Amino acid sequence: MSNIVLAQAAEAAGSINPGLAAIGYGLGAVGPGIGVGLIWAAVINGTARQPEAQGQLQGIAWISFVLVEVLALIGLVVYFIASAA
Amino acid sequence: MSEATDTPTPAESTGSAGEHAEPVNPHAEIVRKLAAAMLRTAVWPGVATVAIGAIVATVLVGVPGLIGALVGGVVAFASSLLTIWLMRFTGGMSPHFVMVAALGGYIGKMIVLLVVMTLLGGIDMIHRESLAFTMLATVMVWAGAEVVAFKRTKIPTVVPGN
Repeated sequence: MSNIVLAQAAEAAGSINPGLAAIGYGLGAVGPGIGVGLIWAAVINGTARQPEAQGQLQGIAWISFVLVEVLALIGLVVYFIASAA
Repeated sequence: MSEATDTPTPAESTGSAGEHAEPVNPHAEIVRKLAAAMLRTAVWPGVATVAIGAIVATVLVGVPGLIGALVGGVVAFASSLLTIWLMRFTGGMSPHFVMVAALGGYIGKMIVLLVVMTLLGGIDMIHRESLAFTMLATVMVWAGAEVVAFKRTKIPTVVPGN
């Protein structure tokens, strides 16, 4: 009996999995989005205070951007695996 | 401004486009130099990661694994190259516009990748895990190589002549 219930639950979970995965991916992309915004806000502030350091600040910002973006790409991969119907 | 009498500033004299009338933005040169170094350092480790992923997936899964790993590698390469291109494109812009471009690029890339990965998920010839793990490994190796390139690239704190 419990096996039948578990099988039915697994079937139901399978049908809603892609939708949940997409929602999870969307939530997972919010964090890196905030991170990217904070990084560039800091660059704008830093450049306003010290314009001659703009090049160095932008270099640091781009490498931080890459690392933050990897988090979003990890979320994308998790979405891709989890969305298997 | 007469070019014969004016002594060029170090930033102008080191610029690659010396024949152009407009002055070279030293900050753009720094960002583009960093982008070039990141690309140079990351491209071969990325290729090696895709090759290793393809071999492992072929051995473990077969032809669908090979296709999946190659597609994953292509997606990871496209994603990473887009960031490098964005760096080069926005090199001479002010930080306000760079922020807009970076956030816009991030949103656009994520939407495109979501659509692409959703469409790829419905193809039977592509092994899902091979694609996902090869893509993940390539992206992480690429990011690590970019960090190494950043550490090796010497960026001046104060740009002379600015």
